[in-house]
Amino acid sequence: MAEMMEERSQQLKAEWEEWFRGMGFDKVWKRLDVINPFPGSIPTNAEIFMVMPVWRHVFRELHMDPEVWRRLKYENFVEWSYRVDQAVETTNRVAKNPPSPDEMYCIENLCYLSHPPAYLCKPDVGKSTCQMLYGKYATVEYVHVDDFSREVYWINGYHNEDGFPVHRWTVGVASDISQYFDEEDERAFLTSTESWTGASNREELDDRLNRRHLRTGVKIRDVPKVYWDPYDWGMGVRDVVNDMRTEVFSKWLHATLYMSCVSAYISTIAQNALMSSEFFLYVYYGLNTSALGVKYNLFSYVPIPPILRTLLNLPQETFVKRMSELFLGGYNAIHKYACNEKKVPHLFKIRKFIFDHGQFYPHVKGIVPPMAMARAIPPSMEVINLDRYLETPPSKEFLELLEADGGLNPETGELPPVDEVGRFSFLIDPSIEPIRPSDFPPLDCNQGQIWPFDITREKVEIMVEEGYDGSGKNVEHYSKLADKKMGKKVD
Amino acid sequence: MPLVITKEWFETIKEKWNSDSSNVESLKDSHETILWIVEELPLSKISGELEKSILGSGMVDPAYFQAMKKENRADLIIKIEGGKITEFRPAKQGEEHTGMIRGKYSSFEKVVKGEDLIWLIMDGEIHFRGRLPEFAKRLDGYTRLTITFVSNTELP
Repeated sequence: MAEMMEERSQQLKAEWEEWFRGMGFDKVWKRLDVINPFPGSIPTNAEIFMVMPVWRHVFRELHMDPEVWRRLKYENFVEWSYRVDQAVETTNRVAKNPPSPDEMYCIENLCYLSHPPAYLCKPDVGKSTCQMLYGKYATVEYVHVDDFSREVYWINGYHNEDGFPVHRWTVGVASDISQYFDEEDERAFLTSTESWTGASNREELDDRLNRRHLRTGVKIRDVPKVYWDPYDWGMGVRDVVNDMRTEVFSKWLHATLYMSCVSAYISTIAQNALMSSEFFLYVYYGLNTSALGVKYNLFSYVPIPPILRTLLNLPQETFVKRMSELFLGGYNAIHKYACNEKKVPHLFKIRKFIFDHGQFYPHVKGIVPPMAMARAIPPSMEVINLDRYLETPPSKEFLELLEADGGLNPETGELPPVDEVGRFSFLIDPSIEPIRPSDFPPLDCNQGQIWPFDITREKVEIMVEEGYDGSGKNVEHYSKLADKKMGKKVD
Repeated sequence: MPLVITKEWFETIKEKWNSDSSNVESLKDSHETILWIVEELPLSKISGELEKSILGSGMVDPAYFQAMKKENRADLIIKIEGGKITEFRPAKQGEEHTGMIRGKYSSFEKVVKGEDLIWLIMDGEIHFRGRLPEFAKRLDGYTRLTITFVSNTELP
């Protein structure tokens, strides 16, 4: 079985390389050296930069080089981990002192739970959805892979009881990441307590990634060199992590072990999404990669939670709206960072760049509202059909744009792929005006903000005029007030 | 430098291109008809006398010229055979082409090296329509073509 997987992985890798060259992407990528920390090398997922315009600019802004790349991997790791630690505190606080109705959606009561900690949710909802997603008992370990070296560089996760993360388990962290550990990190990852298990020193954390699979002999850190995509990485790593769990946490054997695998590039994009609706869009693409015309997984769960399979069969717009309903009661959060700017300066630069320029810069200047985000039509490597993305037909202006810039065939609903038309941009409904950053109250990246899902420029302006500060306090009241002023029917 | 759209301009660009062997080499596999649309080109500033001379050359249909002047844009056809420009002239309405490049004149002015052209295309400042694999293969050639075009153009 393992030999079959290895063989198949080599074949898939060769097919991808041929496809990459056939599309002309090798020649295009060569000219994007300014965003490549290792000029001349082609990373996993390189084609994603052809279809995620703002990220090309973000990486140019970060002045990518090997040092920035390593630092970025570190910053993503600590931010990821501390988000869940904070979520545990928030959930405990909210459980002891439930907020009043007008404070229900206050940003300080929202947190990132471990499924994964990349979007904000209400703690009570988060707990039940976590159970719905993973079951009552689950150990969820995230496996992050360097796009250039194809090495696993950290495995960290949480054990959940009754849908709630009760214990953090840091399986391993490569030494090029742990070299940046500060005192806080040393406490968090180089000690063990009732609430978490780390290692006794950096060497031990690194060395755990050298643990080999009993049957195949492949080291954890080398799994992505041997197996093709994030799903296969999960398959390759899971047995070893399961053995380690049996040794260290025999009390958790009743729980399903989930491995969730992703590369550094993809996790950076997902973890630093400006808004929750944007993150849900990325989840849709990450697990449903044919929506981008990509032939492999960008993100994986091994095993995949059954409910995700069901949700992913929905059109993109429905998926984004349902996820927003499920986790945030139909609101849309501007995400906050758990770490401060001194600790994660590159992540702050990313947040500020995307907040100032918008999620689809430079094709759309300004922040795309959630309603338009849910209906965004991505550039795709293969022919796509509008039905897969939209719940309802496009507006007249949107249809014109889809025909003119996307080459839409109005009869069939089909849009041609990138290589046929050279479209590298998302198509966004032009009848919904982007919101300017200055329309919002000033953004504190450690606080975030929360807004109704149906915000428009006008609605934001009215809510701010009426005194709403983005904090979530009385958000429903301000939302209804704005709807009334805009002549909408209010219950 | 010759003034844009004049007969001399078309001839100069064609000659400059074809006389440089590295230009020809850069598109040597190319057999195509490119529709090159240049927007925000100040054609409305062309004097009456010059207009008469342009129309007198017979290269452009008077009605089409008036439309281009009104919109300040030029639709140009470049036919390339084995790397050489065999035709460079105003396009006819609805003329067939194998590839299309469209952008503001000021965007074309930004092109200095291959990286610039691909960034401008990916950012949507310059629009390209055609087969990406072929385009990527000839990126250096298209960059040279853009530079030849801009460096031999005088605006009215």
